[in-house]
Amino acid sequence: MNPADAMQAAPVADMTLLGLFLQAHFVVKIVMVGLLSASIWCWSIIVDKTLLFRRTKAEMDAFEDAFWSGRSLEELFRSFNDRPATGLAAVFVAAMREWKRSFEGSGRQIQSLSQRIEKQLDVTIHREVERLESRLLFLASIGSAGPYIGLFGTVWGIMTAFTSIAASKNTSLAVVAPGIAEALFATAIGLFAAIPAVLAYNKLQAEVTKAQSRLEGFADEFSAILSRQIDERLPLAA
Amino acid sequence: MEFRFDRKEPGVWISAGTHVTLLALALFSVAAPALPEAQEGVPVEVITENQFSEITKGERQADKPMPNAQPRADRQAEKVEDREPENAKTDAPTAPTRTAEMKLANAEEMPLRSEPDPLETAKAAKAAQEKRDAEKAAEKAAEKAAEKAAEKAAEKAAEKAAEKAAKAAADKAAAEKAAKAEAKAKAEATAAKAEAEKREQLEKLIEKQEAEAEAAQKAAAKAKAEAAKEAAKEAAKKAADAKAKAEAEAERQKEIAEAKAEAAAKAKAEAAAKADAAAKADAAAKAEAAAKAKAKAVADAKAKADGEAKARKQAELADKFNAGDIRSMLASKAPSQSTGATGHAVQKVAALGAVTGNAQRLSPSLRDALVGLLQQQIERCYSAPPGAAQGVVLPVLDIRLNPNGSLSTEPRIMRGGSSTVDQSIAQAALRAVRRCAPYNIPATYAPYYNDWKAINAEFEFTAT
Repeated sequence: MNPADAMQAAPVADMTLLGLFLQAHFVVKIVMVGLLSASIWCWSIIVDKTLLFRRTKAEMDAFEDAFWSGRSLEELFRSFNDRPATGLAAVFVAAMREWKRSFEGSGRQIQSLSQRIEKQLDVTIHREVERLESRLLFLASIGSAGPYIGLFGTVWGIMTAFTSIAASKNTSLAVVAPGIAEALFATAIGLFAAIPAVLAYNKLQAEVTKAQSRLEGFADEFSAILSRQIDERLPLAA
Repeated sequence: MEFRFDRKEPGVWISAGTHVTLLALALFSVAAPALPEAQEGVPVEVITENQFSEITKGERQADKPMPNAQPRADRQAEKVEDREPENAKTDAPTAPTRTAEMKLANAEEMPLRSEPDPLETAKAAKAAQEKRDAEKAAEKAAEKAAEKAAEKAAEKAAEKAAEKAAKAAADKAAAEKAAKAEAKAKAEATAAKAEAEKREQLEKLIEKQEAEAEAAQKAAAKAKAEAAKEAAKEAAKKAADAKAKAEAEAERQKEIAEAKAEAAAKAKAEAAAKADAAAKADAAAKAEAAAKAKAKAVADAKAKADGEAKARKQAELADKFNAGDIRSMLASKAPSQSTGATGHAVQKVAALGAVTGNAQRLSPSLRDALVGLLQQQIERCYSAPPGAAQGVVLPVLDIRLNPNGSLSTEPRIMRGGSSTVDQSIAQAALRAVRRCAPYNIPATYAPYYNDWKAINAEFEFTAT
């Protein structure tokens, strides 16, 4: 057999990205499309979360400045109550609401006020952290499962390639190469999606932990202030 | 989820936009440099053994494949020696570009003038000498003949005269005169003849001597003749009736004298003529020689010029690029000592491989069967040497066969063993192979001829 004939017998490989995608098997195509959309979603989460954390941090800084500026708690509450609060402000507003509610009525519910405020603070912190943490798990999932999904596409593609070798009864590299290339393309997309996801997940998780500890610290401090106020008022009530 | 732009959460749009941009960039940047043609470093063509033997069956330089491919054979071999195609040498000698008569345009190699060969000059000299000798001899012979003729004539005349005198004295004078005239004429005729011959052959060197001798002779002859005349006259006057004898004698003497005188005169004239002729011949020869030399020089010059021009032209032609030259040069790497390819039959047209030809290999079982067949056929002619029923070493024979089963060459012993018994068994086997010569090989083996044309096999014969 002539080498030229062998060249003609082998399918002319289109080695561009689009060519690789179009030549791939249906399953491999699905894997590729899924991984690509996962990558898009991962990056949108990363962008959103990064912006969110930056905003949260700025708000926290601003609130702390306002809190420790020496303004009265009533004044602060009034200024923050009328708009949806996040972060430290949310914690402060929640605690102050409970405080107000306890003093609005007969003023007899002061005994267990400290406990209720504690609970309220805990719940608020938990809700805030959940809000910060939301969708980060998707990054973790993609980071761990992405390579596997890509590998699945690769294995499927190589299977197809070997089937075509068996069909053409030709072991020349020109016959084998395109199938393997398009198969490996799936793994490449998987890694392309997974690596940023893993990195971003670790980074954002650290940010969440940091924000959580800050919230808890503020809550402890604020609850300490409030309990001091309660203790000051108890003898008066008694 | 809703796809609506949120200022606080622009991630989806940013991410999607970035991905699309990246993909577009990748598509264009990766596609731009076209991947090099997938080419293997060394193009390897895998062919089967059959295809290979088909390729090597014919000749590489042949024009086209032929259905029944045969290597070229210039003549029929007495002893067939079939070489494998891959071992066959190119036996055809190359035709030389320059033919033998081609000369170089080299002045040194051109003969300037055809100089006389010393051997030839010696020959010519010898021939001249011989000619001279022959002339001398001829002269002598001519002289002798002339003398003899003169004598004879004189004698005859004398006898006649004597008879006549005896018969009739009156008629004497007339008779004498007639006799004289006759004798004279005769002598003259003979002498003239001899001289005519002589003249042609004469040479300068002898002429002088002759002239001298003749001068002397002449003087003597004159004297003699006068004396004889006088004596004869006196005798005639004295004896009127005349004594026949005396007269005859006198007459004879006179005749002799006359003949002599005449001869002398003639000789003289001849000598002069000869000298003349010689001189003339000399001059003519000289002139001729000069003319010849001149003509020769001119012809030489012309031939030289022609030869140079021709050689120059041929040299130019030879220097010109000629594809055939290169081809023949390549083809003639080994100077061939053979007289051409040989084969079973003369095959003038070589074939370039075979289209449908096949050189199949015998399978081991087929080969075994063939050897068995041969052994069976050889065994019929085998007679064990006395006292050697079974040898220690089985003989291995080299048998070469033609397609029709006859032996193409003498069978040989490849391994005969060292002991005398083994040797004798091997020789007996060889004889058997020769005796059973045309072997009956089934037609099923015909396609495999290339594989069984030479069989080296171990034969074991049972003594019969």
